[in-house]
Amino acid sequence: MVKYVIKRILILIPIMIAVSFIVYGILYLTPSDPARLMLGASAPDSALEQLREELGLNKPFLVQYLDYMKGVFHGNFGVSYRSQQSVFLEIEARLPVTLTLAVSSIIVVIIFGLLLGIISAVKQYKFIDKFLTVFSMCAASIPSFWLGLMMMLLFAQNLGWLPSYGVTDGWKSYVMPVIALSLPSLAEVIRMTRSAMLDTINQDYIRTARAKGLQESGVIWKHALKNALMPIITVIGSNFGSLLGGSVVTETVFSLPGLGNMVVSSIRTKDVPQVMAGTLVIAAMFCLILLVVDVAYTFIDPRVRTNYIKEKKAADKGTEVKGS
Amino acid sequence: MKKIVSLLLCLPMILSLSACGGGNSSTNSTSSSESSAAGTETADKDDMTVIISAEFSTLDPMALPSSAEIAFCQNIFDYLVVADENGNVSGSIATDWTTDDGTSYTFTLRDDVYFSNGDKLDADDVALSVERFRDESWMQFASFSIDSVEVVDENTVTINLKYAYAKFLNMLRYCAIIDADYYNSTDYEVFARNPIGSGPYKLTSWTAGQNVTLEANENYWGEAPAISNITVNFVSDTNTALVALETGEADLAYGPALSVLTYQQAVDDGNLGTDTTTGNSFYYVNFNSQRLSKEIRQALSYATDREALNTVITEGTGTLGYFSIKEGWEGYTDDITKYDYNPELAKQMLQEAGADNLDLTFYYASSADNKKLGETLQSQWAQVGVNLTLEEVENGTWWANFTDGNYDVSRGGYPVEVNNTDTCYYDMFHSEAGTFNVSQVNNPEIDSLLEQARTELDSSVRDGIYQQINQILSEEAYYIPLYWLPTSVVYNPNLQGVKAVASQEYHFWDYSWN
Repeated sequence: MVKYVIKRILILIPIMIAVSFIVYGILYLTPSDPARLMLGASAPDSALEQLREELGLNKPFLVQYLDYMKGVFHGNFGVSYRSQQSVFLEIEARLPVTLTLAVSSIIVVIIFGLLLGIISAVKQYKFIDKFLTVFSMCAASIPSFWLGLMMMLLFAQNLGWLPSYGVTDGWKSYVMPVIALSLPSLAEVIRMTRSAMLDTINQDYIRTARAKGLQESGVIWKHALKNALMPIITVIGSNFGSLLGGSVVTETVFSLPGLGNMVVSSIRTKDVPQVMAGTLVIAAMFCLILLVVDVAYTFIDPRVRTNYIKEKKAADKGTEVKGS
Repeated sequence: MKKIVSLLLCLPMILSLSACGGGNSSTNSTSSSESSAAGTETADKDDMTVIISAEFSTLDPMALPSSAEIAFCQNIFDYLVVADENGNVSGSIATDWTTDDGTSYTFTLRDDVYFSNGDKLDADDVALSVERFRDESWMQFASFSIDSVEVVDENTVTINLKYAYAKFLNMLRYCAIIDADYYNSTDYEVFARNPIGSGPYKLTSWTAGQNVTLEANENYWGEAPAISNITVNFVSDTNTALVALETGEADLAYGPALSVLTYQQAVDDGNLGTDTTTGNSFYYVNFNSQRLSKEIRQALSYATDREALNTVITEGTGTLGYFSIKEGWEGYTDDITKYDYNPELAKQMLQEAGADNLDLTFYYASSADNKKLGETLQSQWAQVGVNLTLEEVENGTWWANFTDGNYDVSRGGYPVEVNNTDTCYYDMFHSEAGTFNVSQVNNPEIDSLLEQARTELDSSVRDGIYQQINQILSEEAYYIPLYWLPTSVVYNPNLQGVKAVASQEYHFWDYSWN
């Protein structure tokens, strides 16, 4: 198991290299000129050339890329073109906000998603199920910027309960953004839980458990849920990944200094080092989450566990059987 | 029962489809009478919260990419000279200056100026500042005429120019005076995040992504500002900015933090202070003069109804103009070729030029305004037989191609300097040195007139030269002049001294609480 985890962590390196090459390549191919974008319309050509030399923009693509990667392997991810500060300055400031948002949202999604999905499955076709189905469809379809603005008008402007922007108000600043962010994922998890649970509940072994005389709650929680959990965990994992990188809209509406915002505005100004650093950080986090999800599989489903630990032992058993 | 229920459910769906397209009135004013936008006891308030639309990238005053940073730095730093909203220059750190023939200026400095860290401001600081001003690529738009600087004594500095540049002093106002000792003894990264100036305020913190805070500079040589503590928050969404102003979480927002719509809403809601004025950005429809001949350009100018464009795109808030010069500035004249809307004449001219079925492309960067402009031009020009295709691209791409001349027709604009026709005209119309010569103007007469005006020290002679240039420009119809966009400010009504500033250089030390 430990070997497997270590192997997965090591695979991160070639994945990051591939990601960096692709992103750097795409940025290189985009036709805008960072020097122009930074200096503005009235900058004389000499100033533009000077800045381009300073930033190394006149070198061929591979030279620029290899220079960048050389720096990366020495731990130097470069300085942002715009601010001339280390790229990690922005990332350090913004990562906690994005993490807080993403973690809070995913907790909301897990707790409410599982609960409501189970209720929906257990009380299939009853009113609560239909209500939750409609609710999921609404939650998935409502655009988050609209919802964010509506909440802001109601809670910040009219009622004055919550702040309208920024992260300076402690937990209150995160209430509305978390609600706006978590709804689409919540909808997906509710639906996935419901369908996975329904699949499992109709299995024979559930019938057996009930016949054995087990309490219904035991049947649902210990047997049905555990078996249904695999696809649900996958969905939760991928949603967590997208929450980490993709909450640009919510961050813009509520003026939260997050990673998504930073990457988008860096792309607009073609601030290549900043975009690279931000993308690599998000990609690394995504890979780690997928790793956690894979490890979680082994805890939920013992059959999966055997693939990872007992590889050698199973192989031995195989040869034993054949040989004997 | 089920059938009836499902039929009933269909009704709202049908109704919602037909009522769709209600526009983005999502932040329509709800009754905000409960939330007081301003507290009643503000007389003792000593702090102010300001909203701007984007975070600063740096606060090194010699590396300032945008007018937001330039304007903000005016609250922290001092300059040799300053200019008022009409472009009249007066001394600040420099009490007096002399010049023989305009190629060299000698400044006498104040003796009582101290930086916020206690260092005294003297000629060495000025010399270093001017050298950086001259050398940094960011500032060359303003420092291009400077050759060298000499320290004469502790309170006297001489700046030597490459040629007698008439508007040198106007551009000198961009040269902030930095503390030489601080600059030389600090790592650049720290220097750029922790500016030390001698102005009315000093920076106390910069929280990345969120805000910067200012405090009154106790070493300031001038009058202490009325409001001692200022927080400047970065809020990119204009609707959020308006909500914050309404709830009282913010006291002031200006420039790009407000859109035309949110400003209008603030005016309609009536419980916030509002002010607007003609901004300093003038917009054109630029023709690529290397692809379109003069006759075609003139014909297209006749085919355009500029007033309709103003109504459609700016909803009438723009101020029509014929050039990027305001009344009272050098070069303003009524004696130019004007192309009043005349589609018949346009059609005739196109036929005479042999271009009755012209196919052109309107190349623009994605934005609602540009799209409206393109569509309106498309329909106006279709009436004279021109087929205008719209090509929309992302901003960076547009800029690269626009400045390189890979387009037929596009929309350009220029943020002008107050009362300095030289920089904007040189940049836009000089064939070789023009940094923004998007219409590909290559006219030797204009070139020589521009060079003449640049070194001419007599204002009335310059005025005459620019008027002549305007006559040539309008006759050649290199562009269709459009309008000036307004710039506005929305503020807590208890704040005194606030008015809209065309250059968006808002000086916090002018404001006080009621």
